[in-house]
Amino acid sequence: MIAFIARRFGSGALLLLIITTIAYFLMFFSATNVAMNILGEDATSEAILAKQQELGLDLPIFERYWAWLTHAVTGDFGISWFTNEDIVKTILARLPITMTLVIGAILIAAVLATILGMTAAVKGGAVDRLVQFLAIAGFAVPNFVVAIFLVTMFAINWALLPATGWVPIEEDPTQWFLSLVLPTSALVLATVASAAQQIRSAIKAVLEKDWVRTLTSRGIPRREILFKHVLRSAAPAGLTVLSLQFVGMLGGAVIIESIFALPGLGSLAVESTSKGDTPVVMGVVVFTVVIVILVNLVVDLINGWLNPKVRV
Amino acid sequence: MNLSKRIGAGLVALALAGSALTGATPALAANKTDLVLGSLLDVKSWDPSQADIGHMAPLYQAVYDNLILRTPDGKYKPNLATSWKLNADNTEMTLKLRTGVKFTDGASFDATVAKANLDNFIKGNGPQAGTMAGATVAVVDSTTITIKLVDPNPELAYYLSTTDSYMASPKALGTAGLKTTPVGSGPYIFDAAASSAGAQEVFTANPNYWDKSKIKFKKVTFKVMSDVTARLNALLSGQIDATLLDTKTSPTAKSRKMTQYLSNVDWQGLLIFDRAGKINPALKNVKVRQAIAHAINRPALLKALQNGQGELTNQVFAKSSPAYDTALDKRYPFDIKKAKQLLTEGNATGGFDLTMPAWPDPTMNAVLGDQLKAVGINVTWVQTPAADYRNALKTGKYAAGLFQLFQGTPWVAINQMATPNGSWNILKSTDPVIDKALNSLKDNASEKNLNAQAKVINKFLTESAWYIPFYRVPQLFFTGPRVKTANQAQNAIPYLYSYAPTGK
Repeated sequence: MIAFIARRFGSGALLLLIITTIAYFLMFFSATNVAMNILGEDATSEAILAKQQELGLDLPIFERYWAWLTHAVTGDFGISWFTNEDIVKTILARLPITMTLVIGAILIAAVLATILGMTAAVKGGAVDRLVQFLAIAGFAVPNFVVAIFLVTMFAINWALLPATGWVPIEEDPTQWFLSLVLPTSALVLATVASAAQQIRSAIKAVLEKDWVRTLTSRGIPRREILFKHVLRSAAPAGLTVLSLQFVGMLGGAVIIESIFALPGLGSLAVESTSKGDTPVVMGVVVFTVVIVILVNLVVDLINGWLNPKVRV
Repeated sequence: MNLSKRIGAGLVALALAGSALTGATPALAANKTDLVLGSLLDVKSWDPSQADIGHMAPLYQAVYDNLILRTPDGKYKPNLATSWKLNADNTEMTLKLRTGVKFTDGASFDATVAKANLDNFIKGNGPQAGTMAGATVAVVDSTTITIKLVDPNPELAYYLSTTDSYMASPKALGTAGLKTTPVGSGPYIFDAAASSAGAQEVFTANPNYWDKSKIKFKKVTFKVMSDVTARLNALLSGQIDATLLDTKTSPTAKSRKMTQYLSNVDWQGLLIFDRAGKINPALKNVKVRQAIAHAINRPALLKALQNGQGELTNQVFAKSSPAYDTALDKRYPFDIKKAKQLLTEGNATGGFDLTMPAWPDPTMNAVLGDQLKAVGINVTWVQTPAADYRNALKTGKYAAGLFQLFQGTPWVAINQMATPNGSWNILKSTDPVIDKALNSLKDNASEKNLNAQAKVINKFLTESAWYIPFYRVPQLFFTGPRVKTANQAQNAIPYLYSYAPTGK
């Protein structure tokens, strides 16, 4: 197991290096005039030139990349070209918002998708068709439409929940919870729809296995077969789809963050990319890739625990 | 538990949860003594040398005092400077400074501090540094300074009331910390613990402020909300007290009894850069440029892009400007026949090809492209990322482009559009009419002559179709029921000093 983890960390580090290198050069080739973006439309050409020199934008690209890389490996991501804020500090302030949103949504989605998927697979017939219809409907409705509907009903018309914003848990746990309800709900819907379909198919496939029939013929209670054996066998498929959904949510959360004015990592990534704030973009890329690598590692470990054959 | 009992228990649980949530509602709204503003942008740096106008103005105003104050109607009032006088040729201003003013870190304000701040602005290479480029500041005595300019500027008071004279504490000035933590003498004190760059900036009332009339709230919060739907929802639900909306969201705000403050700060239209015809030879002929102006169906554009809200215009100066001429707004009626005739007279019979960067709103490109095609002008739209659009225009490789420009004071507008180095005179066009007006201003930059020359320049810019405005863009600012404000002359949104509780 230790060798397995070590291998995954090694490949993860290589992946991180490749992705960050590509990202840095993509930022360079799609670069906007950063100095002009900072100084505004009325800035003189002399002022723009001076700002470019100040930011090191007059240096060759490889020199700039090497400087970034050698600092980044020591954990020094520098400061934002636009806000002068320390990048690690900025990301660490925003990361909990996105992670709370995404982890909360994925946990709720996992429970709901499992219930729906299992109900559809076990009951079959009309229930199965209903669950499938709901899943397709949920998948078809974009999450921003759901978000706007939820805000209009629950925040504006009924004034039950906040329309926008984020309250840190240490400031007010109740308001923190309330501020999460609508954005998390908006994110959950499409995830449930997709995962429920996968889990339904996986459970259906397991239910058709000979060993399930054997267990049933031995008189083992149906509930025990479903929850102890079938669910465990079907879990890897569900976990895989949920891990993919998690990665997708990290990127997709930006729309929800925008509608609910949540200062998360997604909105930071979009704002920084559109402005050409390379140091911030690179910081976000590094943190995001590390999170994705860790999530995949955890999913592999859980799969390995559920199914020892995977560890080989 | 049977089914009916289960359903009953579920309903009770739901009702309890609902009442608990409803009970939490009052806490969602800000206190009466708090002002919460939905801001499109956050500041890039709290160093006053990096200050900018528009959406950033109220943020800087919370913590910094200007030397001169500008009222909503554009008049100037004493602030940290109690009086000021510009010399006859508009190259030197002498300012008398207020005494007894303290910064929130205890440092005192005096002439030396004012000079240090102005020097910091001049040398700071910020967005507006060009407005005082090369200026020198001298301390006459502890309460008097003089600012000597390289070129005459009859509207120096305007710049000193906006970006050029935010006063930071001398202890903080020049330190790296000032970029992220402002220290000023302003009506509010920055709350670093409650603030988060790009998310929200929080200020508490300065208990020792020298002008208590400017403090109308105990706390001011700027919530950064780039998304207009988020701003609308926050306003309607009472999370914020005021914000800027757009033509799509404003009907909802109005229907919910929010108060609208309508102004027309910007104009939107076509900027013809290549008046010399170096990139597109057809544009050298004034009749061709006038043909374009006649080919544009402005009411159709206004309807398609601004839901019919806004004011049609043919001139770049605002209605409130002394350079404004009512007759010019009817100079180019939509007339395809006339446009084709002018194209023929301008040696462009049947039209010509025109390449422009694609405006971020594809509706504009589609409607305008069709209108120009009707007279034979075939537009090739070059796809350009929205964030890079302005920079694309500034590269100087396009003969023309769409843009939305600020309707500044006469001096600001002239320097933006007419002078050879004007920030939007990208290909540095010159003309004897403009040269004569600018030379006249060099000799006599009195307010009377400035207004007279601005009128001359306005007429020239319109007649020569250097710029082809479509309409003045409606600036739709809204407040909730508990706060009122006032539109600020030549600024996208109200100044912070204009907000007050309604008492509701």
